[in-house]
Amino acid sequence: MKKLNPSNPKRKIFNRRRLQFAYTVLLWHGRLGIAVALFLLILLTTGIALNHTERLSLDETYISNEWLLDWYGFTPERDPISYKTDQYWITEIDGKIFLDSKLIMNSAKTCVGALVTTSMLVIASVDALFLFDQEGILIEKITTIPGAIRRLGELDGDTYIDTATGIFATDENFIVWEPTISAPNWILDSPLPEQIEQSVLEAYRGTGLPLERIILDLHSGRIVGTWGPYLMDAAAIVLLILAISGFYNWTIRR
Amino acid sequence: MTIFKLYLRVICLVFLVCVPFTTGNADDVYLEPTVFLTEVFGEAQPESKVLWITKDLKPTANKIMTHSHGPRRVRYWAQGQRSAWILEEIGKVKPITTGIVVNEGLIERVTVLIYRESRGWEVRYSFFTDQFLGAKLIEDHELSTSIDGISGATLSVSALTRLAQLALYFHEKIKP
Repeated sequence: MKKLNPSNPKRKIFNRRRLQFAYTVLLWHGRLGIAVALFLLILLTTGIALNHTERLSLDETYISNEWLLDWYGFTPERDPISYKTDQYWITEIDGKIFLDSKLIMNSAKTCVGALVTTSMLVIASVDALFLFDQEGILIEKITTIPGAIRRLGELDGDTYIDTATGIFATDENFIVWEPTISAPNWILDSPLPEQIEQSVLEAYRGTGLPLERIILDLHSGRIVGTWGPYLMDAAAIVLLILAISGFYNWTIRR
Repeated sequence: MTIFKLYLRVICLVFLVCVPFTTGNADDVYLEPTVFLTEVFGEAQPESKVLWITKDLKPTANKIMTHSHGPRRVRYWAQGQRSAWILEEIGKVKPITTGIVVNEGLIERVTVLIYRESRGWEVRYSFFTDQFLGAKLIEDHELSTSIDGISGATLSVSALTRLAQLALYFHEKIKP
């Protein structure tokens, strides 16, 4: 075995370089640690929260903070479309259907009419017909309609739809659609009274953004936009470097 | 303190540069429900019927679906021993419209008709839906075949599995 000689100049150079490198690693370990501290904090806290989504009811808790709702663009993309029936206002905003201010359908296409039959509340969207009871409980969503609905009408207790392939009528059971040339009373939309519009808009915003979405987006970085996930990727890579540099520093100190 | 200020400035800059990004996912219509029925029955399509989810059916239907928000009646088409069902279930936040054909108590076809979720659309492919073919109901209204999941589509897989169970259960009740 070769004896170590402290006076050997080659070894001195090696030691100095090694020390310089260790110092640089230590310096950057600190800098990078400070840089990703916030990201690490976000990743840890949101990760723990997401592991307990159901227990914390994150998917059932809705955000009411105006700033966050605005940040997410939770203002309706389209103006509300409303229909007045004998007792209710039916309003559709961006696919959500409200009976007065109660949300009764979360995922619908543009609403083209609403009417009340003897036993049901009928709401037509472009691609489906929704049947509700008087309390807003869904009876049926009919997707097998003769064509995309343009208008909804009513005549002598029968319901009519105007589609690209013609006008069709059905009875109170909504089982069979028969082509017809009758001219029913087509349902027209009506402007919402201001007070009801306010309560509908509040309900729209209140049921739109679950807390889970915020936490998920914080965790993935999507909350700050398209580049957010790349930002989190970069933070993850820096954390990986920190683990390596931390291990290196530990071996040097030993 | 200077480093801390610099750090805060950099963080603020990063957040300001990134533009808020929220997108709505458009519906993916893979097969129109009416076309699905034509494919199943041909031009001689039977008239639709409705099955009311009565007090007798509701507890089991709710148990299969693991919730009680289902519709009060379900439309179906039956011919001979075959019945076709167009059912919907929410995957994560939006409903998945699915066409299911049951023949003599066995699943003959499962087709995703309209998919609205942003993730999990892989369930539309036959490598997944073919797993249901020949499945029947066994004890506790479970499927006789185990369905392999898809990474990243857990909720959609679960939704389709429940719909398959529900269609088989409803088929039993209509006795075509």
